[in-house]
Formats: sequence, C-alpha cells, structure tokens
Amino acid sequence: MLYPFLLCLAGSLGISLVASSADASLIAQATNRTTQSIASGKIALTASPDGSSAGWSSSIANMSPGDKQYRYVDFTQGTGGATSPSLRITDSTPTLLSTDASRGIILTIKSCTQAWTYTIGSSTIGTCGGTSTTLLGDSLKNLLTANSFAINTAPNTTTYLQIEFQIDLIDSESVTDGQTPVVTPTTAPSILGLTATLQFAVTETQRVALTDNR
Amino acid sequence: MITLTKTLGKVLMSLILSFAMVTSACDASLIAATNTTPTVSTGTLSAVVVAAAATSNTKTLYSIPSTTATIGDFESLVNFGTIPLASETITVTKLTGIQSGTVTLSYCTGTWTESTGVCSTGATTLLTVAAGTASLTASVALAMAPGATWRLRLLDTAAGRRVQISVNVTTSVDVNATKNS
Repeated sequence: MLYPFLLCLAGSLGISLVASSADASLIAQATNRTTQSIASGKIALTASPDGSSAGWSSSIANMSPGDKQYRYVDFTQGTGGATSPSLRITDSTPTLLSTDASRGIILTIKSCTQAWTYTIGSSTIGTCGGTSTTLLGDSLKNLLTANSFAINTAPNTTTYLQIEFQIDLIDSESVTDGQTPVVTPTTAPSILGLTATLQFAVTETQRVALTDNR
Repeated sequence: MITLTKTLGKVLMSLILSFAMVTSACDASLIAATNTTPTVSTGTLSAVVVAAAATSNTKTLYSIPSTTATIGDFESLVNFGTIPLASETITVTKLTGIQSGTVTLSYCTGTWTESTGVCSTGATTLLTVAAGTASLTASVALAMAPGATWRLRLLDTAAGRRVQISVNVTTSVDVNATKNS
C-alpha cells in the first residue's frame, strides 16, 4: 500500500525537477531591427533614341557622297556592373557601302558625358556640353568585327552617343540623260543606288566579383 | 571492355565539363543592346529633259524638231533621281542646219504662258548656240529637289531643224546634306 504512494510521490518529484530544469534555461536572442535585404544586381544595357532623335533604328535614305547624317542614342546600364563592352556591326546586304574602305560608309561614334545638344532636321552638327570622346571612327568595312566600345559600364549610368554616317566623295560620278553612272577618274563601280542593312550589337560581360567588408 | 568503358566515361565527363564551361561563359556575358535593323542607302542621280507629258525617265536623249521662232518649244527638265541637285550641265546640239540661225534655251522663274511664250518675270537664257556652231555646253544652276521640274523653252530662229538637248549631273555638284535626325 505504501509502495504505490512512494512511486506516485517519486513521479511527482521527477516532474517537478524537469519543470525546474526548463525554467532555468534562457533563450537570449538578438535580431537586427531593420531587415537586411540582399539583392543580386541585374546586368542589363538598354539602348534608346535620345530625346527626339530617331535613334539608330531609323533608316537613312538617298545619301550622296559628301553627306553626313547624325543619330543620337543613349546607352543605360542596369543595376549590376559590367565590363568589356564591345560593338559588332553586321551588314546583311553587303555592297560597296560595307566592302570598300574608301568609298563606303564611314562611321564615327562619339560619346558625351551629358546629353548632346542638337536640333532635329538641322544641318548644324550636335554639340557636347560635357566631355566628348571618340569611341570609334573608321570605315564600315573595317568595323565589321568586334570592336572595343568604351561606354560607361558603372551601374545605373548613361552614355550619350552621337553616331555619324558619312560617305566621302572619292570619285566623281556623272550621269547623262538618266543613263548608267560613269565614275571618274577610276573605273570603280558606282556608289549610287546601294543599300546597307546594318545591325549593331553591343555585348558586355558581368563585372569582376567583389569582396567587401562593411 | 573495361578499358573501353573507362575511356568512354572520360570522354563523356570531358564533354559535360566543356558544356558547363561554355554555359557559364554565356551566362557571364550579355548581348545587351541591339537595334532593329536600319538601312543606309545611297541615292540616285538622274536629270533628264523630256517631253511635256513624260512622267518617267525615258533614258533617251531628247530631240525635237523646232517649230516656230516666236513661241518656241517647251519641254521639261525633270529630276528623276533621289538626290537633290544644285546644278546641271546642259548641251544643246543642232542636228541639222548648223550654219543658219541661233538656238536659245531659256527658263522662267515666274510663270510661263506657253501659248504665247511670255514669262511673267522675263525669261532667263541658259545658253545660245550661235549660227555656224553645232553645239554648246553650259553649266546651269537650277536647284532641283527629287521629282522637281523646270519648264524650258527652246527658241530657234531657223524653224524646222532638229535640235537635241542633253543634261548631265555629277555627284560633285549635288546638294550635300548634313542633318540631325
């Protein structure tokens, strides 16, 4: 009769001991009051026409040797930094315009640290109020490979570009009564009535990985 | 058999590693910006003298039998090209009757009354082929946008002979454009 009582007592004491043990522990916790966000950057580069310019997606018609046509394009980086930008130009309908280094199209691409100042339709060449740098300047023929293209690669920055399309007057071409053009003094084919179909592709690489203590 | 299996295994692993490396390289770079494909085209030069009703480039030399010495014959100088013109070189040739009379080519900056040959602002002579001269070439400065037309008058003091008019244009004297767009 005494044994069950003792057993019950011992059980009760055991429970008490366990409960006392749980009461003696302390959960100390420290948290940041402001949650920390960790976001991966986005490597992105967008090209868009500057202001009211038609940009580099607009066609240029009826150029004549000696003509200069200007387009203005803005390149804006994403939130992730980039490096090693390069420009590759292709002509899907090659003619003398892209196969002849002297008679064909001459491309000059300049950057500006701020938006170019120009008037659409004006014959006055746009001006850069900041610092202007010539990124590329060569015949289209020589630019049909990947070229280093030093636009600003820092996150969230914009590079303002002026693109000049020019055809130099190398030969005089003469047309009598609507007949076939005669090139003087050389016997080279005519540069007139040709079309280049251009695509510009800018490629860049993710920036070098960073290690940072803050 | 075992050797072959090991070799195939190495090749397969090598291919997998190579693919992984290529994939990583592609992920690291970005073709970030391309344009919709524009075209850059050169224009055409074509200034032709045609009969009044002609609306296309006939690609033939214009020749006419001159009619009267008082009113003259009217024809059109048309820019059928796509490049604006600043000046042209015109040649007038007497095909017959070289020794007699003069042939005058003129244009009007005002309004030609072609039934009477009167120009409201006074006709401007482009060139005159004198008696005894077979042909004459002159540079004229008639500004012509693509599709533009100048009406010319050929006046011949010796009516009835055949006269030819030829026009030449060159890239060196066209209108060069510098333009932002």
